[in-house]
Amino acid sequence: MNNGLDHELLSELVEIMGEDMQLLINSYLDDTKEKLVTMNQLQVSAQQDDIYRLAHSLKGSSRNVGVVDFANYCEEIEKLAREGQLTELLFDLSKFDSLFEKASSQLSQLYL
Amino acid sequence: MKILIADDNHTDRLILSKVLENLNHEVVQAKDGSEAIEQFKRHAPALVLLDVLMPSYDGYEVAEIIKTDSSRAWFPIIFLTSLTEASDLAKCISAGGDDFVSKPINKIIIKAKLDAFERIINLYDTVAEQRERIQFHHEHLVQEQEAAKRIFNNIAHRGCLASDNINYHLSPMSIFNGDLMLAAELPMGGMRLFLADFTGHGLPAAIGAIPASEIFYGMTTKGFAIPDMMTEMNKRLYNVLPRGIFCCVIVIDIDSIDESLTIWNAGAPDSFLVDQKSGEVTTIPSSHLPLGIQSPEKFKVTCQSFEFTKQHKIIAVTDGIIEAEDSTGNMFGEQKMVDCIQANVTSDDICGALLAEVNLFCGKTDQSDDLSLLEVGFPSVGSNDILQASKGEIIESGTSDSELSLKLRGKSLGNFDPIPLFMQTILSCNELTPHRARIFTVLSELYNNALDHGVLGLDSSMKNSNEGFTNYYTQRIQGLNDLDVGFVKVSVDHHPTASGGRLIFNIVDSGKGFDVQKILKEGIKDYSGRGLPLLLKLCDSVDYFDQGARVKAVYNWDHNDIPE
Repeated sequence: MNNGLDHELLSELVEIMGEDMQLLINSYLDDTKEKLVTMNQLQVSAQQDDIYRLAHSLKGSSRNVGVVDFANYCEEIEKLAREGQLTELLFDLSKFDSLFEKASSQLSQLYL
Repeated sequence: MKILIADDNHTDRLILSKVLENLNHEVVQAKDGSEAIEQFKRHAPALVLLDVLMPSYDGYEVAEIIKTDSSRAWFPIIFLTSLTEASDLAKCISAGGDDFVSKPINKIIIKAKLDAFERIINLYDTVAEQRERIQFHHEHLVQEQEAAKRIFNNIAHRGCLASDNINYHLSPMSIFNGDLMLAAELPMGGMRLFLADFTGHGLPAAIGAIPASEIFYGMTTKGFAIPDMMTEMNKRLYNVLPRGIFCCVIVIDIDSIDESLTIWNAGAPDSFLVDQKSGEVTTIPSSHLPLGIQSPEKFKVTCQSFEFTKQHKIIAVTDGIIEAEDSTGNMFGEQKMVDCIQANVTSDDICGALLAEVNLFCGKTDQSDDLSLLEVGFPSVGSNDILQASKGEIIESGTSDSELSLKLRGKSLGNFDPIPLFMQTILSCNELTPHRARIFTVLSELYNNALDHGVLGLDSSMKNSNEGFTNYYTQRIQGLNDLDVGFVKVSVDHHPTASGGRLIFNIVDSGKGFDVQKILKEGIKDYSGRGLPLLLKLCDSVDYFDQGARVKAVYNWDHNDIPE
């Protein structure tokens, strides 16, 4: 049932947003894609603070729309970056992409 | 409510706006810190929802900036945060936030918080509105008091309180403490002093000052005696003052011709008659209820009279001095006041000594605002300024050619003072205004001689001693009370002459007369001998008939000869 999404939260969102649910999902997907592009350009060694902020932001918006697995990974990165302990090895960009891809196709299927 | 949402995350803003709009709030959005500050200034939202981590200014910085905008009424800031560290949450509050909610947003929690803050906002608004109203009313009150003070000062002006023989202390705002101090010169020389203390404070206490002053000045100038004036004042105050407000008074007449003092104390603290030569201090306690309590039918004034010369002083106070407190709440009290007067018996400024003593007693707590002190000595010669002659054309006006006569019999002799009636009639001839004091003196001397020595048979030589003085007045009051036969007939004839006029006074009494020649020889001192030397000085002629039971006095006046 999980699929990396919080379905309970999503159904509540449908209730809140009504017709605007589509707008919300589109906005989330566009926003996240854009942020992942930025994320790919950041240097682990020099820009841990920027990574922390971006991961924090991604985590927040993802949680809001019930994208749980992706949000959890964002949180891991956020914590490491905040404490300055993020390394090239731990910063797995492909994991971001795959988790997002998975959630993205699910959301598109459900709400778009 | 108008709510500002500041969050860099578009989806967060979308969801939150929707939640708030569903709750019927108006939403303004900002996508970063600087936009949040800008939107805050432009829209003046009632509440701000701030994300912590934002580009440009972060949430903490935005909170600090917008909270220092003093032009705004109080508004709450609620931080939106996915941070969970206790220190991060604490920082939300220390930066000026009022609360925080964690992300993701839970619509039930958001609604509960908004409801709670809406209540607080309403409370702040109510308080602010009330404070504004209180401030408005306060300013209004101060303005009104200032205006009222000016009005009161015009009506209840202090008269001749500035005379040399008077020392007094009175706060400029005394009228709002209910204290009133007035002084006026008596038409026949001497002075009338009046010290009143209305119960309560503020305007209700001040309101009685208007009728009281009007009556004081009106009736004093017309020559009414203390009992008549106080009866009138009580009648007016009884009708005017609300229940529970009354007026303690001390009223004092100093007769500079007779060298006597007549005093009536109704409800005020003891007054003190000081003999500066012998050091004797006579206490004059209240002998009557305050004004405004007794109905006019029950009201009766009985004055006390004392000898009063250049060596005497009279001191009157309101209860402010007795009730003055030190820092521990102890009252100054009557004993300290008496002691202080006794210690300063020969001082030129007993009032000043008393005031210094009270201030010393009270220490830092200055209570001189509540104190009213009056100290009066013998009026110096010439202080009794005669009214200025009216300048301009000579017109024979009013009663310049008239005759008025009145016969008082029995009880009416004690109940009615005819002098004001005669004075008013005579003085409606305007040209006589400068002669007011002289005419008053002549008429009242003649009338009082007829009543006291003629009808009542009192011996004026009694007044030569201090004790006799008091006796004399006691007997006079007693005599008037018991009177049911006897009469005095007064008639005043006013004829115009070529350059002025002639007043002829004819007074007949039912007494057995007296040895005119003997009195004329003996009557050297002013206060005995029926004031004959004075009458002879003022009048062109004074003649006695029927063994002294009838007297005729002639007073000529001239347009070109204005008395000093």
